[in-house]
Amino acid sequence: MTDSNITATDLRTAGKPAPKSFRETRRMIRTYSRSFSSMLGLALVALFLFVALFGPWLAPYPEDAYGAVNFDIKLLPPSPDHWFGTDQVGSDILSRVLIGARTTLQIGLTVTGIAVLIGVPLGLMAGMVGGWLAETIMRVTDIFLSIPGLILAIAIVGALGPGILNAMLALSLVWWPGYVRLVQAKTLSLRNETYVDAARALGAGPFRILFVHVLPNCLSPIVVKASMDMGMAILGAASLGFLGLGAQPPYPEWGAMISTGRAYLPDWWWCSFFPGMAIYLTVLGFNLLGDGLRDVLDPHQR
Amino acid sequence: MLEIDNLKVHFPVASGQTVRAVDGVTLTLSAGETMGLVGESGSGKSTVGKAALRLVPSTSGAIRIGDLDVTKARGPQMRKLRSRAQMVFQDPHSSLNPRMTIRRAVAEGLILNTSLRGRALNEKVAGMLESMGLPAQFHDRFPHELSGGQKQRVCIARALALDPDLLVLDEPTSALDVSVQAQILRVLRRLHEARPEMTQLFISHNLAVVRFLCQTVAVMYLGRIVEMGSVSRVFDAPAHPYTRALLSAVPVPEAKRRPDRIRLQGDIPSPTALPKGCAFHTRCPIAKKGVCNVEEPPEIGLEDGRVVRCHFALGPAPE
Amino acid sequence: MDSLLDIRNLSLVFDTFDGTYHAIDDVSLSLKPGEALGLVGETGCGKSVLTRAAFGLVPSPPARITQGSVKLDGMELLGLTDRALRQVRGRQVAMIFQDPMTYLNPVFKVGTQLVDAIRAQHGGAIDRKAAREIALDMLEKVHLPNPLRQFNSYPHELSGGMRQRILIAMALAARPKLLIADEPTTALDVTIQAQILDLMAELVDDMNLSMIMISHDLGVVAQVCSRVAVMYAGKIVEDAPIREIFETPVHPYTKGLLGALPHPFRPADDLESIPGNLPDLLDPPPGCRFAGRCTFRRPECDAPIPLAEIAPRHSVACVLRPGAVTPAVAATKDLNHA
Repeated sequence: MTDSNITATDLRTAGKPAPKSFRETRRMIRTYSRSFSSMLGLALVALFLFVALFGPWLAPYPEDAYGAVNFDIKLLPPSPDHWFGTDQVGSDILSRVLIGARTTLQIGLTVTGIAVLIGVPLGLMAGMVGGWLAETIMRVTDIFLSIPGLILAIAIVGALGPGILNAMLALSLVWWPGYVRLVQAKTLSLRNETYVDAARALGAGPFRILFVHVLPNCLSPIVVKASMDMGMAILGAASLGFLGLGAQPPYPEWGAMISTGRAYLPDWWWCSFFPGMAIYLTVLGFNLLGDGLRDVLDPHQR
Repeated sequence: MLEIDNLKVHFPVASGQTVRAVDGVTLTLSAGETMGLVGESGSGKSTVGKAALRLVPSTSGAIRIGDLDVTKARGPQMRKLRSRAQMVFQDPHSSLNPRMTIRRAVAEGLILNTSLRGRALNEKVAGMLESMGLPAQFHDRFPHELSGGQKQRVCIARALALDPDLLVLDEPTSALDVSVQAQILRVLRRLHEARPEMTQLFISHNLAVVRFLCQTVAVMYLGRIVEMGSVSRVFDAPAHPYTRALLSAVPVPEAKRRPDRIRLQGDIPSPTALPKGCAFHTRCPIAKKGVCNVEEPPEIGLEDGRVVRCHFALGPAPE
Repeated sequence: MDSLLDIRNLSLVFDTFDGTYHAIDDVSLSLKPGEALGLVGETGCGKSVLTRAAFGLVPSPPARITQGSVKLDGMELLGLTDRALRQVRGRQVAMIFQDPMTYLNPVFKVGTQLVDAIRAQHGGAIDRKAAREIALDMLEKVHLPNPLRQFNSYPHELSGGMRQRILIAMALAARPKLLIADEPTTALDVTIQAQILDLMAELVDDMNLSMIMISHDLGVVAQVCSRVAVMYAGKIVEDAPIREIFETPVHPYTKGLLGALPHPFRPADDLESIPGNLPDLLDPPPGCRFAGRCTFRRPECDAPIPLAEIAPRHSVACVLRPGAVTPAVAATKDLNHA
């Protein structure tokens, strides 16, 4: 049944070098790198990850991060010895900011990770199954979404008691509904794709359709949202820390550092300014990265 | 081979109405027959095809493939159905999972329905793809790296890998360019020659394509078959006024304009509110008041084996 | 100088990441007043880009017109300001497209949109009442059933065929010199397509309309047009009266296209399928762009072959055409005709 005509043709085109998938990746990298803001985001995130990994070795006075007290040198302005100055107990702010990056990364990863782990399965279920189960999931999601996340998180921490673990837990609990909405909407549209029908015609069961045909095609928007949420979760944790509900001083957490430094404004501005800049640049970095990834992975989502 | 008896497929829609997509279709295909199922949008032709594979639930009626009752199949019988009947869809661009190589796409049905694994599986998949004119260099490519015609050949290979007795083709060429369409049509023609025992249901709005591929044809209008018979009889001497109008609406690739054109007025009524009596009477050039808008036409058998649903199929239209 | 539209040696490229994409290459095409021309070709042949580029509808960048001229009634269009081009498009050239819904605003009544469009065509010089008169008159002309009732409908309440009629009415209300119809019936059902094609043929005859109809379907074009230009990979390969295209095609691509079409009333034993794919337009072959797929290929095909007349009104770009000994000879012939 071989059509000699067709085979000859396809052989000719098959002989062409440079497979298209490679071209596709190159095009993606090129699109991404052409945007200044995306590259800035990538640079900021890369810097943040570097500091989070190697902070303890980069910090000039690592012991200052964990409550070393040195009242002789308290509240010194930025100088060659202490680039970011010192705080009210004489700890080096640069060291605390550098070492605090790891905490921040942990918070971001945990909160986003838990939100993805809760939200994605619920979204898939709501999108694939339908009926009362989907209704229930979506209505609960709507209730969560109708209350501002941070306020709900404050209430949860208030009930559990302040502390960094409780803050992460509270943020995770308010973060997942966004993923449910995203994944449910995407699943609903993928469910009607012809290739899902084709898989059913081949005898694929619901789990196979879910994990082989639907989930992999949801991944791009999930990755984009997660990268943006890293920034937002970090900001949320810092807000809780600032309100005294998250990490407790002298734990090197940026939000808590701003909160403590607030009492010394405006004369000893560096106590709050440098942790604030760290939060600002990190959140900005993740947002720009997310924007850039969206343009490359999900051009229709704009 | 395929027997559909008084099939009805109704969908509820948001406004509380019911879409009568298929409203009493009866047809029989013998083994090795290639039937064209033609009609315009809303005629229900694709729904018939999907119901035959149970991709949409049927409201009432019976569908049998060989000795297998499709509407009642459960568990192991469902698996049997999957290897008995396969489908090729209209849009090759969306019928392949964009994250699967074409090798995996063709292997999927075999993994799900046979015990073939490892080398044997690979060889079978490679053989299927090669028989569709896709040499080994292509097998690890993703769908977006292929042209529309190549994708559709992958879809045909995927359906044939399970060695089905019935192949439902749902407008397999209407998303393709003319020259690519010709390639696919030739592939299907050769398929029919190579496996004469395989039954094909070819769903299309393109009458010229049906004439090229099929032996028999069923014309659908608003969920019902209005005329069914051998392709040559239906095309050369259409008995139903809708068939006549449909044939005369086909843009023929010729310089002469045909003089005997019949033009239908108006649009196809909505399948949520079917006209009373004969569903076609609102557009029919020979409809007679008091008959066609009141009474549903019966199925009339003609001498040449055709079945027509029209009050005036046997005699000329009354003045 | 009797042609209405005169495109001369137009070339257009797209600047892409992977290089320069030669979408339109040295295309010349002219249209007489009252003529209906079908522009036929497959996906990627440049038929839509050509007509859009001629009236400034291809965004630049990424597109770039590298050479040529487009004259409408003697007026050069290339190089006009956006404003001037908009005026040309509103009043002298009208366009209709494949999906009429895209060009109707879903939140306004059809009548309102028609009246607004007609007033804009007149530069606001007429009042709503006069515009309404013109609109109803046009709806009558396009045989829209019940025009008064449709006037107060929203686009989504109408069928695809009715929407296309309304867009045709809107396009023709300004009495344009030229109508560009880009696959106007591709989204419609067969019986509705036949209605719209009848209407277009009638308008061409009755209103003495000049039209370019873009289509991938030679059968559709045959219902309306008297002349056909076949495009392949950014070039016109054959341009002839419709009868000659069907009866005595010369270019192998035209023949291939015809051979690939199944016929509803003439059962065929086999179809012709054109082997191969479009050439890579990032790096197009220097000679005939069809050579790579052509069964009649010979060494001369690797040199450029211009479109040249082989009979009155019948031009072909192929070394196989009668009388084309060498490309050089053909080129001088072409000059003599120009």
